[in-house]
Amino acid sequence: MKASTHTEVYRPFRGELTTRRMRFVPLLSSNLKTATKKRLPLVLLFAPLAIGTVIFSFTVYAGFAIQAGDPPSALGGGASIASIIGQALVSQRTQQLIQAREMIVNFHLATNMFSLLLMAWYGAGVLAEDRRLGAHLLYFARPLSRFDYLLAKFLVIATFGVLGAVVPGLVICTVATFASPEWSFLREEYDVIFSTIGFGLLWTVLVSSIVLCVSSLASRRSFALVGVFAVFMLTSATASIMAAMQRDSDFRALSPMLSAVRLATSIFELKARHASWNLTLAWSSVGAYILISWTLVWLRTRRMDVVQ
Amino acid sequence: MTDSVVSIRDLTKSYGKVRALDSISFELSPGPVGLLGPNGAGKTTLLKLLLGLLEPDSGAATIAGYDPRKRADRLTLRARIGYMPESDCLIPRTSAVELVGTLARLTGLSATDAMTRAHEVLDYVGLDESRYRDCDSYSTGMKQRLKLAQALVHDPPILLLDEPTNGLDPKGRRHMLDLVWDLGHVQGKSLLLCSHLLPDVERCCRDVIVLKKGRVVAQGSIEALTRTEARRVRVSIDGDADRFATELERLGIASERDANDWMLRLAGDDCDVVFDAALAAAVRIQRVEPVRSTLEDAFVKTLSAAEDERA
Repeated sequence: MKASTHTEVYRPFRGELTTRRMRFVPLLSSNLKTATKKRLPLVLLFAPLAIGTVIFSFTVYAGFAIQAGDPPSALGGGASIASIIGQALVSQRTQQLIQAREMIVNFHLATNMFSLLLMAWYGAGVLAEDRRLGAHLLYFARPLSRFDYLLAKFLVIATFGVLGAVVPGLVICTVATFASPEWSFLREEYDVIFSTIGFGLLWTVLVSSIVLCVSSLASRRSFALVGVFAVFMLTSATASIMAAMQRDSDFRALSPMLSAVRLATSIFELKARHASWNLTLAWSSVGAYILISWTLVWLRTRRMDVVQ
Repeated sequence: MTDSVVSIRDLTKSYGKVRALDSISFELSPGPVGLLGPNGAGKTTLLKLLLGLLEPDSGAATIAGYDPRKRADRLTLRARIGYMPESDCLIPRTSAVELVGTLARLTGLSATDAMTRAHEVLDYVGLDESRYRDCDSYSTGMKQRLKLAQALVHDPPILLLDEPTNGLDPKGRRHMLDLVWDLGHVQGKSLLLCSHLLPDVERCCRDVIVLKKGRVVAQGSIEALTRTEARRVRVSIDGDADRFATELERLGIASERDANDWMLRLAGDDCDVVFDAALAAAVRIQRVEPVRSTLEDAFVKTLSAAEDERA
């Protein structure tokens, strides 16, 4: 039973093939493994988010600590001049941002470009490169449905979205929970945790859907990467210009990014400091972007599975 | 499950105005079968139709009793087929073990089985320690063997191999053909070997289908196809070659001489005329053997006949 050219034999498979439902799981884990093999982009893309998380967490911690009359030792102990100045600065900052919910919204506003970059970097090639290399032939020659394939690809992007948009928010919430006197954050502001998860997921789904859509339309990863930023930048620029020219803030609904900011103020129940335009339009805009993205993805990938 | 592995009835597929397959019909019995044809004959299209990666314009095909047009059948049959595509199609920054293991899991193997099986098939195709390297750095021969390994990982009874020796050097080609031969003849796989290289098909397959411009121009066992030219005989003599040549000419036998060997074209299957000529020329016949044409001869002849028929 030997192949004539070398020493190894062919061993028939004695096990059984399962018909499990979640076939997207191996594809997802394999894609994530492959994506994270290069360490440098990983470090560079996560660094701003990590730094932002540390800064905002420390500000929340410092705010609660000063409130409790126990200034952090990092600001200097005793009554030294440096300590007094430090406490004054933090107190001033704390007065502005003492509300953890506002801190988290500010964190999202400050870092949404970085989480977008993270998702775009790791998501731009998920469909474009498969198509260019013909790798989809390997996948679809197996009992893998198009739904499972797309779900795996979507979840690859969404994983990075969650790591960039949800996890940092939860870290800040955790710091707030432990820093607040007598668990006051958890008792009085617990809804912020749900809002953080809700908004982070909404942002992740929105961006992941658009990235997946652009990847399905592009012929290679670099084009898709440019395309993703073109979608977000051009729509934001157009929306802002139209809103300014027409003196109508509702035109901001043309931009998925501005719509997301509007939704953030609503989800976190903030007073309309960041935006005050029509909330329904913002929801409709985000919904429409997600719907259009998935429709295009579904149509484009039809040709990867079965070509009519 | 029917007796034939593949059954095709009036299958037609067009890409715009180009008709890739033109109402072809045939049945394939189990065993190694070659799918021969020049470039653009429709070989790859046929393989993709069998896998359900393409949808036919009309006609029907079943493979292992399943209809690839039906979604449920398509998913079932894909677990029973190993497909080796022609294009590179390997995922960058992935090692051979990871790739084959992942594809095994997608086919339905458990994580443990998938990893064990990945190592087994990579051993079989001869990707030794390089299996841990990213496949971007592989040579063409290694990539071809990796593609064969991924097709085998779930041990399918049917293999669809699209140009497995493409781009290989002689050593790599011999290795690949040995593997294909082993799979078809020793491991008992039903395989459809798609190639435009006649010696590859001749070496590995018992039966052959010849496609040209989307039509089946010949089909049958290689033995039968090459037998059509069996009226040629090679004769070795000991004696006066000139007298033998004269006698052959007198009896109307066309001949070509190469030292003491003669290639004779006979009018019928009977070789008695050769012995008559030898008797008359007083020469001793050392050897008479029928000359089978190569598959290449049969292939060229078949394609030419198809051209003439169309004209």
